Amino acid sequence: MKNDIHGLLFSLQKEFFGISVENVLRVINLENLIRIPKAPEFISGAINLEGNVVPVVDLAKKIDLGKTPIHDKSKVIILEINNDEGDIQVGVIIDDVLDVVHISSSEIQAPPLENMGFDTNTLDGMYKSNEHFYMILSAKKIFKRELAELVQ
Amino acid sequence: MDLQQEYIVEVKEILKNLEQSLMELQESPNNPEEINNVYRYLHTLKGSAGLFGYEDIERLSHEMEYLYSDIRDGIIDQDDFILDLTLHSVDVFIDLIDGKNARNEIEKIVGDIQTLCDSSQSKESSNINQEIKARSSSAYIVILKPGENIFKRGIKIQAILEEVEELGNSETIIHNETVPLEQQLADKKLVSFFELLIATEDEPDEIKDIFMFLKGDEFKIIPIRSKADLSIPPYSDSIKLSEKEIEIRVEKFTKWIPDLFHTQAKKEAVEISAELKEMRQEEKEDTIEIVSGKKRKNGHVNVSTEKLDSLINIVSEMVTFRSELQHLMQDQKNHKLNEAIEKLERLTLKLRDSAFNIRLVPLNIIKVKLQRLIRTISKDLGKEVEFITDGLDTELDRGMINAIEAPLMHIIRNAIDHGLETPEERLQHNKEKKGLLKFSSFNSGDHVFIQIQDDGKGFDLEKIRQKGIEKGILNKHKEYSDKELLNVIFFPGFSTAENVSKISGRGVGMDVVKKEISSLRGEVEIETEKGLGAIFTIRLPLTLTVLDTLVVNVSEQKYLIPISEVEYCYVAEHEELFEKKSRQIQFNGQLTPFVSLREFFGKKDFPKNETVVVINKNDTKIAVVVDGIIGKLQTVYKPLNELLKSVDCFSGASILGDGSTALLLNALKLQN
Repeated sequence: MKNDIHGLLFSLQKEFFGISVENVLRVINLENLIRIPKAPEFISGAINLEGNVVPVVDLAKKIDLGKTPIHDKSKVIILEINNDEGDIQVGVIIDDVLDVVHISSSEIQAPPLENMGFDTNTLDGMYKSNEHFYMILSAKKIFKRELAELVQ
Repeated sequence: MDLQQEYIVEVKEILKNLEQSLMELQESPNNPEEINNVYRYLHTLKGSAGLFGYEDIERLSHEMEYLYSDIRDGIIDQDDFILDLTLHSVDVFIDLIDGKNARNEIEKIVGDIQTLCDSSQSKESSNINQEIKARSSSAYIVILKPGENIFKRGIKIQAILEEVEELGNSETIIHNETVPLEQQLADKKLVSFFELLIATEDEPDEIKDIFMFLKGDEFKIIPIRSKADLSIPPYSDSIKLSEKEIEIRVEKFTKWIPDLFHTQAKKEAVEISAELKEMRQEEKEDTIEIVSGKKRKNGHVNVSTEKLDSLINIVSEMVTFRSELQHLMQDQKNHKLNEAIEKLERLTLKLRDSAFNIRLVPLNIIKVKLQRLIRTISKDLGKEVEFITDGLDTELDRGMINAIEAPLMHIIRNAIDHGLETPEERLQHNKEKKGLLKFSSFNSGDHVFIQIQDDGKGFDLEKIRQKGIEKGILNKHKEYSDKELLNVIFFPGFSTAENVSKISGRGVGMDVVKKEISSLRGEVEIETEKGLGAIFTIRLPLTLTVLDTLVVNVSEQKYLIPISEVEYCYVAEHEELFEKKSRQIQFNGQLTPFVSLREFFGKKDFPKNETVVVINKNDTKIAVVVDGIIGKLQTVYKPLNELLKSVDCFSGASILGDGSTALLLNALKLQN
């Protein structure tokens, strides 16, 4: 990470995360989720986003952090991931949105790799505010395996 | 789009028309109308190329035009060699407009043309003289007042004036030349306007073509039939002349056309003949509108597919939203509101239909491409092919036509290469020397059928069987129906040709054809009769987006099944269905496998009464057991996101009236 980023900060399973707004299309309330039988386990289902069918991913499960219980206040971050073939839209379930902050490159530290309780290969770095550590996720790294499969 | 791009689009359109006329000429080499069309296209090509500084295009089209003027005048006969030469030059034009360098090719073509023309030179001169006498000239004045931004638009005044000179006799009068014209051109600041006196044998349209890149208010073409025309509108709107100035112009015209101003009777005759010409022109427009190009522009707009797609998306959303609104208003007692909603329904459906209609184009647009393909292949293989078409006015989604082009070409290639015999072989078998290849299309229900039929030797089923066994696709000990054997052709890596030729059979083969057609939600089938030929039938949905579906529910969630696949539905008791371990039902006296969606999705509880939906897709039957049927729905098909591609038991999804999403079942993939 060389450049400054605008980070969307959010909470999930009592952990604090951040993700660059570059990949964030919007944040919506989780409504009208349908299940997709036979889909990979990390896919919670799909929603209708302005007429497009967008899969919703249980982010916690995707990064081996556990399973996200869905409740009334569950939010979905709609991510747009650039791919050679065009942009892919995918929603990830989070608990709550905390803030959007400007993070300068000097504030970004290398992420801890061990003992985090989830797959740290999905991280771009770590950001420390006054009180909390935020793990900065990379949209591309989260879906690295799926993107690689698409290329085939 | 800037003008340069607009020009490129225009040129491609002209080239397409040119190609089409050439294909007509292949059928009837001496069709004077088509020869004239070819000549006109080349002429237009040349004119506009000059304007935009495409010198290579200008040079080549100039030479070609020269050749075709000789053909038109009967000095040279149109033959196969010339046709090849012209087709080749069309390819070169396309390279040139794409910015590739093709100097060598141009020189070669130009050399060929010169040889052709030289050999008939002596004949030429005498003929031309007669020609001039035979045709009558008309007089026009063009008033050219280019707008200020003319230079920005990349238009060269000089080139226009040069083109006018080519029409026949002409003279340019520069008005308002406060600054010398050359200075104006150098400064790119035009203050003058031009009056062009023209006497030409060409039609007024030809004059208009020269100014095709100018706006309508920048030029005025005024036919001059009497002296009075010079002192009345529209002429006098632009220029007021003194008696003396009129005389100068009259003198000029008289010099070019001695009897122009002679008698009243003469004038009337000219007028009548002009009117007649116009009438004939109109008649022509009516009949050739679809067949040949240039006039087609009337009332047609080129729209990028991107814009169209976004329109379709919005319309689809609106249709869905309308359903949602109706859903919300269901219990409404207010009559006026209900009426308004009904009105909205009618309008949105109309809107949807016409929006989808925009995307439909006739299959005809790929005919020329196929014709050229056939011409090239049959020459390479030394086979003679008669290509006939039928029902090419059948309309299909534009995206679909683009996608189907490559598979069609592949099938045609195969048919000529492996299907049709050489002329000698055909004569031996008491067949016409020329092989027949028929390309036809028709609508049926919400599907479009495309057929490619040849009268060649057909598929050798025994050979296919052996090869299939050899390749491990078929079981040696099993009996196969003809249909099953033919289906083997669509397996990856299967090719019956003994020698892999360069035309077809490059490893990638019919399996790719099948895959591409399937991805359009279409199907392909072969019928064959040994020694008599083969028919490929491709069945495609009318559009990629609209779908009639049956809505079913399975444990609280709705799913969709394409109605076209549903054969029969009935209610059955759960106990009875699941009595045995085997999952088969008896339907029409046949054992048919069934899949309970609840079971398939891993649910443990089942309703007492289940609903069985018998699905028939490509003659493969499978029954699907669901909780119940909710109704019928016309929906807009949405492809599944890339992340869900691995889930192959669903082929897509749709948004229902209440805004929720429903998955589209792909029944044949339900079995593990």
